Amino acid sequence: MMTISYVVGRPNPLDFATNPGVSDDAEKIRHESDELKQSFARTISFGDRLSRTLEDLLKARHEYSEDNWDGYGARGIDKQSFENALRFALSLPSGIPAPNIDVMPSGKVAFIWSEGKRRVFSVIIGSRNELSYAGLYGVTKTYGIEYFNDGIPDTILNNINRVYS
Amino acid sequence: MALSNIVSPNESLGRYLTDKNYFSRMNKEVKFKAFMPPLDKCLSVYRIDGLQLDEIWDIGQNMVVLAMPQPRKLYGVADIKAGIVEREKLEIDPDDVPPRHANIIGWPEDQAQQMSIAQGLAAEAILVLKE
Repeated sequence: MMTISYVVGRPNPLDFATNPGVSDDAEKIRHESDELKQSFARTISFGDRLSRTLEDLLKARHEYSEDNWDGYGARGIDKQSFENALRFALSLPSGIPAPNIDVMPSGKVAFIWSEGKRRVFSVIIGSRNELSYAGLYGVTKTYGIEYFNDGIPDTILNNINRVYS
Repeated sequence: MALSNIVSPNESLGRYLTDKNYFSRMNKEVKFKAFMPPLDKCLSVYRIDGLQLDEIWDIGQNMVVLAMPQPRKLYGVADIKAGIVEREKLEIDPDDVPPRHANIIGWPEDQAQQMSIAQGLAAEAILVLKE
């Protein structure tokens, strides 16, 4: 028999104290507890990334609400682009690193993943569900347009992964 | 001394940075957003070759920031060689209004292509911060 208890005050909530047993039941419980830990870890990681992204989107909406925010005639944040960006953020798979959120001079919201200035992929979220994307990987460039309907297109996900590969 | 009407490939062009998200202080790099063209597709730059830093900031303060309808902070300048701009199939129009001013023109209509060009320019640009 194995018992699992959470020790109050322990810094990592995933860190359970265990009392190892030897029976089949103990082995089953040990297996289930491992699964629970992994599931909990995924939930925490997904929640953190998503909440940070949503917070950044809200910050951007506030920061870029007015036209001419750069003095060069940039447009204030596009309402429809912002709403589509929220949907895009919620659709990102949990394994994707947190993007940087920005607003372009066109007023459209952009999601940016980068590992240095020569390894960057960005997506501008259009007001009609169009996703304008561009990537720079060393000297290799890619760009194009995809559409965001049922989910995030594979082209976008593959390019995000390419930044970190 | 008046500048030539022809911009040489080795000439430095300065894109003044008036938004804190145009650069990363931590990574010491210019972000591609600084090179995304405005709605009229004339990206404003100044010909800063041979100028001292205080002269570069004078232009930025007096010709760029103070000329803007709302007060802006001048964070720095992105220094890019004219040859790199031309390599991206863009053109430089040295209109000299005000003096030393030029526009980077010839941008494609497609936003994805604009972004790809802007990424290429940002990768080659040198960040010079004011403070």
